[in-house]
Amino acid sequence: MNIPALNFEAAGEPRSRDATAELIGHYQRVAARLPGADSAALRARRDQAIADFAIKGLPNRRVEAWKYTDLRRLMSEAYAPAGHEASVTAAEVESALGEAAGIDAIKLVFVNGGLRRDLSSLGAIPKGAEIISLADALRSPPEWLLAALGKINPQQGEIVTQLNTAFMTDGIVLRLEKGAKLARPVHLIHVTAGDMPLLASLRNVIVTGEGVEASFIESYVSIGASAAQVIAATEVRLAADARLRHYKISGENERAQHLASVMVELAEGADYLAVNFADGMALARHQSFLKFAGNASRAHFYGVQLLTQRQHCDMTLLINHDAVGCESREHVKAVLTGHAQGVFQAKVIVQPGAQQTDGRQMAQALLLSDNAEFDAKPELEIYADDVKCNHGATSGALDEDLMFYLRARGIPEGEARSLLIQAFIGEVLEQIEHDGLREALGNRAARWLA
Amino acid sequence: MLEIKNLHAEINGKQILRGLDLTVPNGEVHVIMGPNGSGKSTLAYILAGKDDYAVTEGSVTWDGENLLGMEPDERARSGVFLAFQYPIEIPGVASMTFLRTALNAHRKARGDAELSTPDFIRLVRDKADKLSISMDMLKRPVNVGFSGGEKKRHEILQMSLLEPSLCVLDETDSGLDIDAVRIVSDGVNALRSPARAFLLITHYQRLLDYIVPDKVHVMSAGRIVRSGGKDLALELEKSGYAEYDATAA
Repeated sequence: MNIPALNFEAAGEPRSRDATAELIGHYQRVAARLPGADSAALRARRDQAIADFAIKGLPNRRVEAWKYTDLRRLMSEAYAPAGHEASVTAAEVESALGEAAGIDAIKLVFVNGGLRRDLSSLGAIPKGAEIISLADALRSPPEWLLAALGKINPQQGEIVTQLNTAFMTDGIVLRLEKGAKLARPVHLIHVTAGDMPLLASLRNVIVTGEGVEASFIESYVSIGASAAQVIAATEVRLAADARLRHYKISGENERAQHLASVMVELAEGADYLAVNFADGMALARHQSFLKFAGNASRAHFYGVQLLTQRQHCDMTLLINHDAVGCESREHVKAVLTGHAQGVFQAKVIVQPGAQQTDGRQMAQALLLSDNAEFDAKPELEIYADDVKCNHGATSGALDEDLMFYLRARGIPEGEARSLLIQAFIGEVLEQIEHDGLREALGNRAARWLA
Repeated sequence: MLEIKNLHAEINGKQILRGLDLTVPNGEVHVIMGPNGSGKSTLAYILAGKDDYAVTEGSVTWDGENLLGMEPDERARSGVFLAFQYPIEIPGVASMTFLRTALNAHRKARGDAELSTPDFIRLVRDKADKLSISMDMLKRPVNVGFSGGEKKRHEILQMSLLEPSLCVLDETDSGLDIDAVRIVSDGVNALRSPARAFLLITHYQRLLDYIVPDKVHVMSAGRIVRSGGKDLALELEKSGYAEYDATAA
């Protein structure tokens, strides 16, 4: 194993030695027990990942990409990787999920980073689809998986993926053959439970053939009030004309910390839509790395942040236009109260030759308290001359004239405010193409506002 | 009965109303006319409770209750309705949701149960038909994509649904073609009743061909400077407001 000596003093700058060192220490303790430990190729990858992580450790705010989310400060300790299963019942999972439990889907329930078949309901797997647990797949990883894992739109030195690669225990591997069309979404449900703080790492890999149509929902919930750190990574490779709807509900408890990276690569004519709904968790960093590798492909990312108290939610995107005539949209809406902090960072790179790129970014925040903070950093880096790109950001309080109009009709102040906030985030929720999910999240937002 | 006594009000330190007195008994329709800048819309906003304006002196009571001490939504639930001169667009709030929330707030205040969805839709359809408002229009967010005339008709629809007892219409006729004026006027006339008072603000006598008022007041420089019967409007139409602008100066 090639892990550099833990000589932090030599590194020249102060660092949160605790969490970084703890993560490395945890890895050394559990590495031999992780799924696929028998596969030398896989073990080498995990070792490399933790070694790469150890070079810089957790980033602080002096690292530009982490300017608004200082992990060294926010993540002062690293919990031990979950070792044993918690006793969780189907009823508890359902209640934690709320309305989203009712969505007719191929459900895979993971508890503390491990698949629970007894809680999952796969039903009939449609023709052309292969769904396996990552833990199973890693025991003797097939060639195609090794070729995909960590190879889809890889990001040099990206610490969330590094940590995930080191610690990943399970997740969904979804392979869809050319032309496969899934009538029901695949719903990943991750539950953290138990009395001890723990770390769980899920890795998902979605690889499609041409013209595939599918929806993937990720729900993250907690049972109980115990703290947890979840490190999730999802890799998506869309073949030509494939269409994926990717929804994420981040609803873990108020002590949870969540780091996630989504890496997507789109071939010609592919169409990717992501909607990320975050109303839970103490700390969340959602990263999306999108790469247009084929012409005329399309990726839209929408985010909703509903934050209160001292919640911190960061949605950071890197969109790489490396093909002609592609369209990207990023639109995040944040509603912030208390001392909450919302972050939106999106960098759009238009490579030389990526002509007719159409990229738009927008971040909008409603600040309902004087202590709430929203940081928006849209960036454009354009190396082609025939492109249409723009970005914008707004933040402010509710429009007084709109409030007055509603109240002049007898609608009490609280209800009027709730109507307007729902309207504000409605623009993003409307993007959800699954009726049941859209309704469930609409109701969830309404309850949050009440 | 609406009773306004010696009302003084300002916005951003600028005096707009300077001792306005006005009484509108239930069952009557009163009209306020007057030159631009005389304070007509300010009066309408103050009655509805817009807090941009500071009342520095005077009183406003509605059926004996101090209106100025109430929040805008309380006023509305007590029967005050302002038909806005410029109804505002509310993207993202569906018209039907808006109407239903408003109606239920009123019903709740009266101690009535909420209407069932079919009953509500039936009620809206019935009222909308009379104002030539299509249900398709009500599928849109509040006032979004409505023409000027549609916005004004939508105001009257809200008024007929909420059945207020004091209706203040701020230039509801401006920007309407003659057919729309007739539709809006029919809507207003249908609501006339002994228990209801109307205060119409308008620039044009034209509206009064359709809504025959009990009294006409001329407002200038923040006060009522002349009152009379419906013929006063005809007189103003001929002579213009020049005389009253002079008063303002």
